[in-house]
Amino acid sequence: MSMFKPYWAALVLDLQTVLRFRSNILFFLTAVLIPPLAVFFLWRTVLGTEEAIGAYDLRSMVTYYLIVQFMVANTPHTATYEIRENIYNGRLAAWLTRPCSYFTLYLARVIGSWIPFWLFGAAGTSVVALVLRDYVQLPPHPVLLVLALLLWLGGVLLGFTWGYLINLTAFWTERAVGVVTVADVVVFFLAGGILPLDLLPVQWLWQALPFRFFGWVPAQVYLGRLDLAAIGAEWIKLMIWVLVLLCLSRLLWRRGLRRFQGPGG
Amino acid sequence: MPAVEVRDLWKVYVRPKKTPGVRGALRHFLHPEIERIEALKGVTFTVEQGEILGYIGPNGAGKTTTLKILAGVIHPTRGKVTVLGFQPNRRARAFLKQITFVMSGRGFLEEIAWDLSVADGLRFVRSLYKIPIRQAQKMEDELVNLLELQDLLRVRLRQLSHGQRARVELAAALLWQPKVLFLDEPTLGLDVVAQDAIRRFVRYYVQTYGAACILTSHYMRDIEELADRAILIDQGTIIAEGSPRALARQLATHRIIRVALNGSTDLSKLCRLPGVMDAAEEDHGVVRLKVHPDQAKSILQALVLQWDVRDLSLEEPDLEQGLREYFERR
Repeated sequence: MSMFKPYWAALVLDLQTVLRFRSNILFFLTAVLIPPLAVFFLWRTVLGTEEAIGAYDLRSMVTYYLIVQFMVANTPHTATYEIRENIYNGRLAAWLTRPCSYFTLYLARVIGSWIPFWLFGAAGTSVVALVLRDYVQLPPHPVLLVLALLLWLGGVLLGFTWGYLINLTAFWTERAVGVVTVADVVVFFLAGGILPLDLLPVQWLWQALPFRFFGWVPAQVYLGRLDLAAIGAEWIKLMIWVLVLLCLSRLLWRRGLRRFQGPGG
Repeated sequence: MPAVEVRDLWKVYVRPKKTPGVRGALRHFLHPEIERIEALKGVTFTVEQGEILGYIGPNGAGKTTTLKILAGVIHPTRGKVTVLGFQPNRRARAFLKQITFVMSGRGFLEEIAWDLSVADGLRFVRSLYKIPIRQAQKMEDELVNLLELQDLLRVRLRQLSHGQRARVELAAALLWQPKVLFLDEPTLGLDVVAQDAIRRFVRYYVQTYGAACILTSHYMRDIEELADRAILIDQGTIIAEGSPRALARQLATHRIIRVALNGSTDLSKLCRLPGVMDAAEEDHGVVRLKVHPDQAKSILQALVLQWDVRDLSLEEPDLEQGLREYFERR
């Protein structure tokens, strides 16, 4: 267990830091509450005269957006900006002289700082679901909720690894803002945050990418659209993606460190 | 085996070459150019366990680059570097647990616990280095006492003054009892009292724990009071090496003799003495002679034999004077 001690301590430290600023969490709640309500009014207008679009009637569409918007907004693929800044301004040096894995330590810090947002976000989303209860669908079986949450947690790890990988490009660039901004916008779309991916053409493409684990796949599990065998297959795909991105980030990290000039000081 | 061994160390930075102004920015946008900067050019030195090495030089001389290579932060371009038998750029955990790198103006606690208390930050460092509770507590008590941090433990880092933060960062950098210390301008921007506290503490730590220490500073008092040996580096090359006193003598191009004579003082006669570079009368009939170092002894003898001397003194150059003269003539 002692090998986890530094990472646990980092998680606790960042959790402590976030809890010091209550107003941040309260403002975050508005970001959780407003978009689902806006999307609800939009889809009620769109689907008011139609029975369904694809496999989505008004209830499943509202439920889909409630889940996906919470999940995509809470997947830390954008929480890794600091890594990029640390590379640019040389503060990475302070971490390189520590006897621990930078990746794991940073992951622990991100989890620590996001836990309050996850809890408050889940509470806020539950309130919205309660308000819109006539338009919200429960999972066909309670176990599906648990499975969807587990898949999303896998997506959190994947999201962090993706964000980490993208921000490591800072070793090769002077300002990677362009790459990262484009990546963030694309990720939101590819996670199913704008439209359910099964409503899009060129299905093979969206299904081949890892971003659907940030929202679309867990939402499909919750809605009961995947059987157990399919859920198992998704788990395997998710783990393969995590492994691939981990290996890539390790490679980039090693190569990047050879180029790191540690500016400042 | 020396604690730190550096042989023929080279570091070349490759950076985008940019000229100022909008035209320069446009030119870089269309035709990006790079330039190669040789930050270190064949640097060689060793540091023994229990020794403090003062590493001095002007801004951009290559001091911090050397420390970053030794701490494993950046890779050398060429040359051999070992610290406690480890190759720093491999960043082995066993190596990282035995060194500390205090960077000027960039504290680790600031980085991780800016909004938390000093005690929270120290607790995190304890966990990061997996220091057994009893050992950590003993060391923490010792550091807190010596650096007078008792009243600061519950204060948030962001509320500390610059001097208080420097002391806290130093405590956090030594909690795991490192065997090699890389201190990059640890007294930068501190008042004289805080500088004294840091100096006292560094000396105590090195003597008590037998650590090796490389210290860079622009305050020559740091080097004179702490360093057993000093190296002057300029433009990536070692210029001079020796004890701080020997280094000062080596760099200074003159000595100062102050002489008070009974009777009238004939400055022109004093100026004619071989080796006297300049003579000027100061208050109360004291004459200040600027003399060539090699002839200081013969001038002293001549003064005693040929004049009615009331008072006489030869001033040893200090490191600051030596450095100033070196920079003036380079």
